[in-house]
This record gives sequence, C-alpha cells and structure tokens, in this order.
Amino acid sequence: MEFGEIVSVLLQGAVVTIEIVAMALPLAIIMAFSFGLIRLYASAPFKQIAIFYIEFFRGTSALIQLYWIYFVLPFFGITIDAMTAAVVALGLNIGAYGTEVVRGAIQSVPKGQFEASIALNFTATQRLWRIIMPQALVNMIPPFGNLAIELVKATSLVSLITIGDLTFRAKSLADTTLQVGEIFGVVLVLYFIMAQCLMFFIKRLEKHLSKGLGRGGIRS
Amino acid sequence: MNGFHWDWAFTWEVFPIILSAAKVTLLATLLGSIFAIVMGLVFALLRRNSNRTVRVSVYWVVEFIRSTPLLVQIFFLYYVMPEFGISMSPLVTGVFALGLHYGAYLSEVFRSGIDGIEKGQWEAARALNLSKLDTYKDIVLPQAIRPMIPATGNYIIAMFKETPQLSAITLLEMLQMAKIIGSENFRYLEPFTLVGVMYLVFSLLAAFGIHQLERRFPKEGFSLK
Amino acid sequence: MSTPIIEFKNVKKCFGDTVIFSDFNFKVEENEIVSIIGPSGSGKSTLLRILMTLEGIDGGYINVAGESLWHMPWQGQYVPANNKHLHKMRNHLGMVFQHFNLFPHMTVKRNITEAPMRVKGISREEAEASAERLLQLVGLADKADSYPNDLSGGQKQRVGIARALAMKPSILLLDEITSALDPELVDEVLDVIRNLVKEESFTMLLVTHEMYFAREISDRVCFFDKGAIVEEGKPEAIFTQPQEERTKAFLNAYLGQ
Repeated sequence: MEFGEIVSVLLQGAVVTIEIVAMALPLAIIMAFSFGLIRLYASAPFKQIAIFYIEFFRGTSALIQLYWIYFVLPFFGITIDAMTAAVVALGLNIGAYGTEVVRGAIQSVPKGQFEASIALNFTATQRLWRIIMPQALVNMIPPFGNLAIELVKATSLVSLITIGDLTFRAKSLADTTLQVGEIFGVVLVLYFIMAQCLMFFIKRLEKHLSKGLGRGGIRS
Repeated sequence: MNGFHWDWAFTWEVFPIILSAAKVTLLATLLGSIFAIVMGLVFALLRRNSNRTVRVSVYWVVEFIRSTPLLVQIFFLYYVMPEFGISMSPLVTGVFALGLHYGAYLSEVFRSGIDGIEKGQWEAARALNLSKLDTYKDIVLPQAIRPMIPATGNYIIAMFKETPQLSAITLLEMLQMAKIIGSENFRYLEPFTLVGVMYLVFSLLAAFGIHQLERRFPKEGFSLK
Repeated sequence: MSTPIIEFKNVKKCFGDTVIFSDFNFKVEENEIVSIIGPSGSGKSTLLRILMTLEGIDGGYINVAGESLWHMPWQGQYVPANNKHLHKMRNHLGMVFQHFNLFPHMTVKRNITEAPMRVKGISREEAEASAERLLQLVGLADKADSYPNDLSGGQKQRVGIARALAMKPSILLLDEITSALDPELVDEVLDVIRNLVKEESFTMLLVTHEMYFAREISDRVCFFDKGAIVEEGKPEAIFTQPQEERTKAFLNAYLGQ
C-alpha cells in the first residue's frame, strides 16, 4: 500500500476521533460544572448523588464503563448506537474528573473575595456568578486543558467497540498490510500533533482570559 | 429481552472464573509497576544529566509517550516488535507498554520529588565528599520518597484501571474473560458489572493502602541499607 | 438618652477551644469615632468581623441601630437570625479590609458600582455618577478604568474605601486598613479618612496601629487585650495618662517613650 494511501485512511480516522472529542468535551464540561457546583453547594442528598457519580466514574475503568454502556444497556431496553455510547461514556468519565477541577478552582479563589462580597451584601448567587466564578474560570483552564488531552487519548478505546476512529483504522490496516512500522508511526505522530495543538490553544486561551488580572498567562 | 432482573445463579457461577482472571490483572499491574518505577527513575535521572542533548531528547520522548494513547502504544509493541524478530506474549507486551507509558508519567513525579530536596542537602553531601551514588542512596532518595508516595500510588491505581486495554491483544485478564463469558452466554450484565465492581473494590483498597503506607513512612526519611 | 447605634451584651465567641470573648460588653454612640488599639491576637479584628457578619457569636446579643443583629424575633421569641435578616442588617454596615479584597476582574469603577447596582438596584447612571464623586473624594478620578492590579497599595485601599462608601453605610468598619501598606503610602489613605470625617458624619470603628492618627481623629480610644477592654476614654487621656499597667506597657512599646 502506498504511504499516501495509508495516511489518507488514517486521516479519515482522525476526523472521526475529532468528531468524538467535539461531542464528548462539551458533555464533560457540562457534567463537570453541574456536579462540581452540586458537590460544593447543594444540600446533603444531592451532594451524595454527586459524590457517587464522581467516585464511580473515577474509581472504575474507562474501558469497562464504555463496554457497560454499549453492551449492557441494550438489555435494559436502552439501545444506543456505538457513537452515542462512546460520547456518553467518555463525556461522563472525563466529566467526573472535571468536577474536581471546578471544585479546586473555586476553592482556590482567595477568601478575601468571599468576605468583601459579604460585606457588600451580595446574595450567595450573585457572589458565586459575579465575583467567584470569573476568577475561578482562569484557574480552570490549564487543568481542563489536560483533561481535554486525556479525552483525545481516551477516544482510542472506542476502536474496541468498532467505531472507525484513528486507532481502529490503524489496527485494520495493520491486520491487512505488513507496513506496521509506517502505520503506527504515523498514528502516534497524529495523536501527538493533536495533543500539542490542544496545548497551544489552551495556553493562548489562558493568556487571553487572564488579561487584567495581572497574571500574564503564566501557569502557576 | 433478557434484562431487568439480576441472575444471581449466573453470577456465582461466573465469579470464580473472573476471580482467576483477576490474578492475571494483578500480575500485569505488579510487573508493570515495577517496570514503570524503573523507567521513571531512568527518565528522571537522565533529565538531570549534564549533557543538554540528553536532557532535551529525554524530555521529548517523555512528552511523546504522555501525549499518545496507551492503547496505540500497546498495539505498536504488539505489531512492530515481531518485525525486529522479538516476539513477546500478550502479558510481556502489556507489561512493557504499561511500564513505558507510566514510566513517563512517573518520571515527572520523581523529577519534582528530587528537585524538591533543598540545595543545601546536596551541598552538605558534597562537602562531606560523598560519592554521587551514596548521595542519592543515603541523603536524597530517603527524603524524597515520602512525598512521592501519593502521586506514585495514584498512577499505579490508574495503571491498574487501564489493564483492561490489554484485552485488545487477547490477554486473558478480567475484561477479556468477561467478554468471553458474555458472548458465550448472551448475558453481559452480570459479567461486566461484576468486573466493574471488582475494579472499584480493588481501587478503593489500594487507595486506602497507599494512605496507610504514607502514614507509616517516617517524616524525616529513613536510611536505605 | 439615645440608643447606642452598636451594643454588645454579654457576647461570647470561641474558635474551637480558644475563647476570644467570654462576656463582652461594649457600646458605641451614633456618629462616634472609636479607635481600638491593642496587641495582636487580642480579638480586635474579630470584633469588627462579628459586626460585619463574617463571624458568628456563641452567646450573648448584639444590637445594631436598635435591632438585634444575630437574632431575630419569631413568634414572640428570639431565634438565631436567618440569611434574610442578616442581609437586611448588613445595610447599616460597611467594611474596609486590611488586604483590600478588590475584585481583580473588574475595573475600579465597576468595583464601586457593582454592589449598589446589584444589591440595591440603583440604576447604572446613578451608580456611575456616585462612583465618579467618590473617586474624586479619594483622589483617584483618573483611575476609573484601571484594573486593581495596576494600582499601588495606597491606591487600592482608597478604592476599597470608595467601594464601601458607595453602599452608604451608617457604620464604617476599618480593619487595620494601613497595616499592609508600605510606610510612604499610609498617609494618602489616612488623608481620605480625615476628609471623610470632616465632610460627613459617620459612626466609625477603627482597628489600627497608627497611634497618632487614632489620637487625632477619635472621640474615644479603647485599649483592647485578651478579648476585653482594659481601658477606654478620650484620646488625650489614654495617650498621655494611661491608668492601667498593660496600657502603659503597650504604649511604651509602640510609641517608645
């Protein structure tokens, strides 16, 4: 097989990988914020539910979560296609890790900000959304960036439920041709490029958001 | 449609089989951890090498390993090693992949742990004319180890949770066993849930164990004989 | 006899096992300027923080403007106050912090207008006009669009004062407002307070280490130690003829005579 052909097949797989990331990442962010805030501020029963979600998805294996959603849910009458299973499993998994990012960032805002908000008589909601969150968001960017890279790597697992992502294409090509060195070399480089692009983008985002906060975008 | 009820009989039937596969999982994790710690130390020490080319190359190797998926690295070793005439069993391939992958992560933990030893310690060792080996053995590592325990432990737990990926190269660990049982009996609920629960239980036990280990390490460090 | 604007009755406050106040009584009259001096850890800041509802109390009652602060009437009894009650009571109070606590993600102007707009519902035009006046008052009219991080410590604190004043409190609490400043920046902040006192009438509680300043502007000075007022009186009396040994020792150490 021509090298060019190999690359083009793999690039098709890369597109699928990017699609999955594009769908799972927003889900992960939504889960991270909702459950992070619930974990911090909700009343006891809801807090417990959040803790359960977080500990469950962080404490069990991502691949098993993926398999469970894809293979076991149909027996409960919930039939979903592989893509949806992948997006849901990865989104929930990364989202659980994301809740700690949200929690950590909010707790890292200096206590004086809470006190000034109380002194000025803001309500708790105003305090959270107008004073604390804008400051916490900047702190969330680097760790969320790392999670995004973890997500890209985790998408390789969907090859095992026969979704045609980059890893799946690589394995199929490897099983049919003998040019394994070229194939996997290109695959590793493609993943590496995706990770580096994300890192670059994250650094720029952080720089942009910390304008005026006097932090100059340097990761502390 | 089979779901909505839990087949306990099936569960008890399946449990011992999965438990025996757990041995493979734990073996892979154990060997992988040892390899990862060794690789981690190697990478960490090379990053402190006086030669700049060595430092930079190792940096990019570590960066590359950390930015690419474990599964692809597993496949890489599985498919490419035979090209060099090296054929390894799924277990050995897996241990290699886990060791390299997590060795890269651990190298960062070890590096910052060693960097965290204040300069004065190095200077005192030099003033006492200790050899580099003795410096590491008696002065630096004993102090560096305790703070590194939590992070190292967490990575080992993470490694443990990623061993199911070795099912892709047919290693008969827990997930692979569950898949086989599931497809033979057309019931995936009990096997997969069982495996999931076992991972959860093992992880919690390990996390507790690491916490205990950290507590038992004297804060002031200890001497390596 | 008018009702004191602040009244502490048998107040008890503990942090874990440490007792800060065991049976604290204290009164402040309306428009009185009271300075509280004393060694660190004596509970001076805690006193202000309790008033600003940043800390609770473990016993006793506190009245602000004739109403109970930490308790509210309910079915003929007094029960611990809920958030709504505290929110209402905070309208009387304003605080300036030792470490400024300005909102770093907002401009100076927005720091000052945010609370009046969001908490009191004042219109943007009115809030901004008021902010401009306050910035004039503290001498920072040209810094309205700067961010806190671009300001010096003294400027930050002056913004902090303007921000507190924007809410029009009747009681101003100043918690060591110059302690975190480099010496050459202290005067610009104290000048603002001096002007404030000249222009308007306020009830003010200052916790401070600036002895000369305290002597200059206070109606009353309280020497505080180990959670109790050891000695209090007119500034001249306290500074020139302290009666208690502890007061004398403290003043000697601080003023070095």
